[in-house]
Amino acid sequence: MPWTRFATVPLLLTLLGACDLVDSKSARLHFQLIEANGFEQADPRIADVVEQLTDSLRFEGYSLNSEFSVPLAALSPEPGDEGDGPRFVFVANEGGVRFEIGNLGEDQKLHIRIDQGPETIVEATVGLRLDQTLVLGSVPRTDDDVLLFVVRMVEA
Amino acid sequence: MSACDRPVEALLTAELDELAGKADTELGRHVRDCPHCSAAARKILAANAALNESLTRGWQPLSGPLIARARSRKRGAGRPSWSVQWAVGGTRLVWGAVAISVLAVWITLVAVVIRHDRLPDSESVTERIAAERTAEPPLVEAPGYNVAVVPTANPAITIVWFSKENDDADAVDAIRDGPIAVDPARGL
Repeated sequence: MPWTRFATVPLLLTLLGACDLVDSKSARLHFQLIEANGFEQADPRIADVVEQLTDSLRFEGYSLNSEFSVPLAALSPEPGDEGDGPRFVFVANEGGVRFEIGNLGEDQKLHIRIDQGPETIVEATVGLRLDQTLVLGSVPRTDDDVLLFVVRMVEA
Repeated sequence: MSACDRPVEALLTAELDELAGKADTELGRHVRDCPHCSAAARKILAANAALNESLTRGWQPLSGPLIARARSRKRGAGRPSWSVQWAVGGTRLVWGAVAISVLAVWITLVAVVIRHDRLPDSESVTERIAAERTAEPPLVEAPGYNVAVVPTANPAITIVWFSKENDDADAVDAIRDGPIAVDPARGL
């Protein structure tokens, strides 16, 4: 029918928009290290996450310890590489926390390992999509404060 | 008129002034002096004049009646009838094609306008796809851990809680509604 031709343009735009959702070339990974317990003042940098944490976790107050970001493309393996690609290591300001992040390839799986001192707190592979935020938490392995790790994939 | 023994064939090839006895040639002088040949020459000249007159009349174009007929004719009256019929029929075909085309365009526009609210625009569909994709639970693989995926009111934010078998139960209870145990071998 003739009108289907007119529907082709928005359909193509839709498909292009859907493709844009998984375009990792323009995405960035933003990491935040959040300390739980003992903080009363709200931090606007983590306000959206804290709002959800308050509803789900039994901690009193949250504070941003440190944050960093890397372009997702920097984690992508180079063409011809047989390995998993480069890995980034980030050491937080306090608490002896060490992040190690690697991209496992085209499916945007991230390998995340978080160490606190000699103890590995979390080691996992997560699939992350654009505009999605994961809050990684675990039982504290040490006597230090409880730490939460926020991973966001945002547009660069 | 006494007979002349001169062959008559010579008169058939003679010039007209010789036949008229005006040429100062031997044949011309003979035609003037010989009554027999003079009479034959006059017959040849008469026949020649008649032939000349008939040929001249036949080649004269009858332009007068043609011009008068053309001037008195109405515009288009001189075209062949088949040409007029073709022209009329072609005009009808052209107008018919134009009408069909306009109708088709109008129907198309009406269909698009009527169905406009049903056709999803790219922006809304993109946002819907983004929301659906964001709301999907994330893929988490953590061998050796129990993994609890805790959805929040914000579909873009998901809490993933890791624990181990030997963790303190009180500490594991950090999640308000209790942890969701997930088989680490299966992941999520």
